[in-house]
Amino acid sequence: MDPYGRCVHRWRGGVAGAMVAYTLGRAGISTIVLEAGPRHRPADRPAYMDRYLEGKDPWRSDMPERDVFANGGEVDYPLNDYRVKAVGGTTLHWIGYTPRFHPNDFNMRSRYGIGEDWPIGYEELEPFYSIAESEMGVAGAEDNPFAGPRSGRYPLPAFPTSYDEQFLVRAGEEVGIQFHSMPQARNSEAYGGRQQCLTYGNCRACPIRAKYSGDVHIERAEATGNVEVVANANVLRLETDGSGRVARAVYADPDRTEHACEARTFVIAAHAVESARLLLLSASPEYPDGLANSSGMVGKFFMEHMGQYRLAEVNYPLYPHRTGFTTVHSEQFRDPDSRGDESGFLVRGNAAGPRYHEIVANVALRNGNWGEDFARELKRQTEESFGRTFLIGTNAEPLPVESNRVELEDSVLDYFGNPRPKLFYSISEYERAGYVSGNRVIERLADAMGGQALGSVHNHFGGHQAGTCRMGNTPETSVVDSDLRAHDVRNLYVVGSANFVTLSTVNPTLTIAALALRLGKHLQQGST
Amino acid sequence: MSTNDDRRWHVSRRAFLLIGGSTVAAAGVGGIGGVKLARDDLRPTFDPEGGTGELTPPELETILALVEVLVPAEYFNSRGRSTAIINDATRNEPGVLTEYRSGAALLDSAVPDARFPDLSLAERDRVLDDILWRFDAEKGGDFDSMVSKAARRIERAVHTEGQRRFRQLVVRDLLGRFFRHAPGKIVGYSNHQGVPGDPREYSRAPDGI
Repeated sequence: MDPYGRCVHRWRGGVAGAMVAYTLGRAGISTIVLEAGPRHRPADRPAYMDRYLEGKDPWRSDMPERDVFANGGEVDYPLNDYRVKAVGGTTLHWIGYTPRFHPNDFNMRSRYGIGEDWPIGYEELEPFYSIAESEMGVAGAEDNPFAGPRSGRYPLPAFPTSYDEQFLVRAGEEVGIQFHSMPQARNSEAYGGRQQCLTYGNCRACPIRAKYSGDVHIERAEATGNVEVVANANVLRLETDGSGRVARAVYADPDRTEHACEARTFVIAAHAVESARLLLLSASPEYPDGLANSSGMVGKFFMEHMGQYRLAEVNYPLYPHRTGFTTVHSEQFRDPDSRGDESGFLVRGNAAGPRYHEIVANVALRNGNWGEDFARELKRQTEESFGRTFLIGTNAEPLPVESNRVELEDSVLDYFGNPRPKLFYSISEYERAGYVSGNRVIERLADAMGGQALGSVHNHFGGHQAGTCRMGNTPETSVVDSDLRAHDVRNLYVVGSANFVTLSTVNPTLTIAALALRLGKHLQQGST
Repeated sequence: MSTNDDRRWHVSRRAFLLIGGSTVAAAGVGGIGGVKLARDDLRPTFDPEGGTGELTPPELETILALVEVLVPAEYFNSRGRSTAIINDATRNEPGVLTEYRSGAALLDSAVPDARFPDLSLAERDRVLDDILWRFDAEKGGDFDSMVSKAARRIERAVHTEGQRRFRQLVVRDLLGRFFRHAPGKIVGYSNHQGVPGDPREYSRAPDGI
């Protein structure tokens, strides 16, 4: 009952590797997971939360000299702000939103004449979306008229609309914009052996794991007795056997001691940047341009969400910062008739403004006082500034553009002596047109809330790296096939957002999980 | 807190501060850099490689005595809870132990023939006032803001590194820890960031508002 021997995963993205390992382990398939980062103990989460509430990032890289990178494009991408190398991966600090892709996201070329079609459609992925929602514990309601069809119900009820977002919902009703519940992998009730969310107001480091993270399925995978996780194992390259198959993964400990791990099947689940980088680092005489790169497509079509946000000032209290998450959003504009010409977009919003620690720190910094005088000034500034601003934003979709890419740059080497990744990214006119339309929606909502959209637009990335090892039916234009197997290497798979052909407007994690579960089923069926 | 003695100290400080503030403001307009210090010197930070552990009982007494000056009774936790907050910081956050220890030594050395915790609250307030400048120019007006900025610049320029570290890494750090939930209390929240609460409360306005 072990058709593959030991499967090796070079894994970082969290949920992708975890779902594959869990699926294989449950099927009795012996599997090793090589994780570049450390394992964070659940018992440390309350301390991590405290750090986060003081404005510090508890998930920062433990090896910055390993995680060097460079930018070469029009837009600098702050890669290390978003990725977490650890058991659980980036889901350790994700926000937890799990909307599905829209059916038309998979058919952009044939439907709108732009982008590219996926080799699979929504209907192929839909059963795995449902499984992923059950596995992760997604809270949601079937109140979204803009979403694709569903075969199953959400396993958990949606979170009630927050007080501040109730103003947004009412404003939307006034101007014809429909909001609906935000599906999210966070326990609105106890589920999956994890507690109900108790609104600590801090989801980036949930102290009770009410928010799902990939380490949940790593633990379940280990519990099968068939999965071994090696933390702090940095895969340096994959080596082939001369017959078109990967023979071993070479990895190094933090002290640079090298090891080799042999297997019959290899799965790379290292997110968009590192998955492509590992293939490029695995160049050999047999594969001089990098492994699985006869098409030259490895690293190409890098995508990411750039959001835009504006503040609206209102003259009534919004009582913010009582949750760490958004409860509603609108998908009304994600698949408009104009989508062939300009990007669709999502609409979200929530009360904003300084958080507790920021108010206290600001008063402490600017007011050299203490005792009663300090308390008086803190009260004055809190009453004046706390909870009177609302942040409204839209998320557009990028197009897959070949010049947006990940390359190797050998002028600077990482801790292990490997070339660092260099990112090239630009924003397309298609996306910019979507921002213009989105900005008009922001202004309508701000006006309906009795406020005024303030100042300039703020942009920031969503931390949703994708593309670089995209799936497709033709080896000339894609890296992996519809089963996520490398076109060039029969015992090598790549899974995660790296496979995405388009990025839609929504958060990618549920789609990553669905792809991973689908791959797990494929590997179980033994078609190597 | 305000005794006549206190006021005398405050007036003394403020007079100096305003004179200095005007000078620095003028210098700023003229583009004169004045005393230039590296950013790290101006905003000292905890040593991420610093040790962790517990203060000695006398050091802890001194820091608790400082907390009583910094934090009014309304926001002051019980002595046991306050001790737990301080111990949690020194045990778990690299560098905090060293700074609190230095702060305790600075406070004790500022009191001839006694220790800081032996003083009355008003006396402790005066000692603190002697180490750090007290300025409260944040009333929102341009002039007040200018004075505040000027005061901070002068303080950075003429204070010793030990004083700057004491202000930033002991006094401001303790204010942050002990006023952590104050903004929520002020607006009527019954549970706060970092504290579990009724999972439906966020969908309503706070009770009594």
